[in-house]
Amino acid sequence: MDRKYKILLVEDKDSLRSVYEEYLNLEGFEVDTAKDGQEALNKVFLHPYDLVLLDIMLPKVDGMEVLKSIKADIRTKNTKVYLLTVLGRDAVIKEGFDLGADGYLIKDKVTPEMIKKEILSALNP
Amino acid sequence: MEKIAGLDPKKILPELYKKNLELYTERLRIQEIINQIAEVVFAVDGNYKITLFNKVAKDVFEISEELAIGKKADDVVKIFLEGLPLLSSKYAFIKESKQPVFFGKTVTTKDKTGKISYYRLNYSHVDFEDLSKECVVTLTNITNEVMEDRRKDEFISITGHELKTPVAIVKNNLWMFKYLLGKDFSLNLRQKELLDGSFEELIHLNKLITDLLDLSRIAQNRLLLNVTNCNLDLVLKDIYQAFLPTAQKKGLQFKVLAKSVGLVKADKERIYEVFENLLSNAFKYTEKGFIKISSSVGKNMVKVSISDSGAGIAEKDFSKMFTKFGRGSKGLKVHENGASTGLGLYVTKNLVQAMGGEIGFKSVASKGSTFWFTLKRA
Repeated sequence: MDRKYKILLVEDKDSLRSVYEEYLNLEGFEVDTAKDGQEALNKVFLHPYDLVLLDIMLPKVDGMEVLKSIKADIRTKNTKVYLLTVLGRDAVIKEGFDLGADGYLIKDKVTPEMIKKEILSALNP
Repeated sequence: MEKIAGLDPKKILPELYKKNLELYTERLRIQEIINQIAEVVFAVDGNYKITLFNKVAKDVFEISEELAIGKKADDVVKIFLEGLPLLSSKYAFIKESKQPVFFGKTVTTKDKTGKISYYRLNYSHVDFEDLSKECVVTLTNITNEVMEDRRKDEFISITGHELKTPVAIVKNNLWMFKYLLGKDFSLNLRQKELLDGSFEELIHLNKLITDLLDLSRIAQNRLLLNVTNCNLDLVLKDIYQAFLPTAQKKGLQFKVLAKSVGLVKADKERIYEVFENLLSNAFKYTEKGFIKISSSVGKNMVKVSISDSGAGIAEKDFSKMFTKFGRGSKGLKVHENGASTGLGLYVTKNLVQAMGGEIGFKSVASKGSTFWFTLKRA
């Protein structure tokens, strides 16, 4: 990596957030976190991120709403968004893609290492 | 006739009148019985015109008996199978040996307000001696049962998703724990065993939850698959790698005898689930010998077979294999490698069919089994 990739990790479950954050930091990413949809929206328009890891079921503002806002705004519409979900393969994922999501990761299937690989392949196509 | 013929002509008329009255009352009585039946009852003749129409039918289809009789059944009895109109000519007078059989199927009706009700369709044929025929159709209202079932599936769906988050958390924590220990981690053998064992069980737990969720998806017709071109050779390679450690641990010969298969029509994630389900069964019931994966390429289809030299399946259990909660009698004991829910094969069958393939098996008890499935070539 020439420079550190900036990731925004949006996840309301403390222990998931801390593990992903810790691992991605150790692997050389710069990680910001948000605990709910509102915090995500506050941050995403302030700093440019390479990629947003976005949980769907979030307090305050739903992940789908966050995704919609990101993809609708000229400042952020090119930011890659990967949905983090346990709602594997449901209609939810289709909805995510319809709203412009770049990919999805199923939380109970992926390991932190697989998330890293997905991020890298998304950013270096 | 002879008796009547032998009567005094003066007595014939009153006698006829009396008999006629008796017949009429009898007919009313039967009519009343049919009317009081809690099911929709109607009958059609050979031209699919209504000849009988009871009170419940009148309430459901919102038309009086007088108006219904003599009308084309399809103009009055509007029932739907999986959302499409089901015409009386599709089921009435069709011999059961002829496919498709709609007997016992769940059909729906829609009232003026758009409310959908569920009915079980039953019918039987009556052949009269003068060669006319009628088909008597009954519809049993099963809306409550369907709704109850749906609530159960929703419950499973919600609970399943709720269970997945803590499982994901524990799995990630354990993974991170190992990661933080570093590559040359300083755990002793026993500690490593405990950690790896927990991780494996967690994956098993997750699999059970996935099966349950799939089951509720199948029941609710929500099994959405993303069928695209999929490289089966790569899948086989991954699967081989994933199961090799288990084979080595159990001392089993494990081989992929497949030649290059190439692209097939499959869901990239679900195809792994199919292999995982079939192989984990093979490993569960095989104590010594081999497990082999082979394939053959046909004109339009690819057939994949998974053979083992395991416990096999008793013939009396054959019919249970792909049913919900179905297991061979040997599978009922709690196995060392994890209890099975009996959902795996049922889910697998539904997955394979949803990808456009078929699934089957052959087996000899105590000798081994071969499970096969087909997929369309891309």
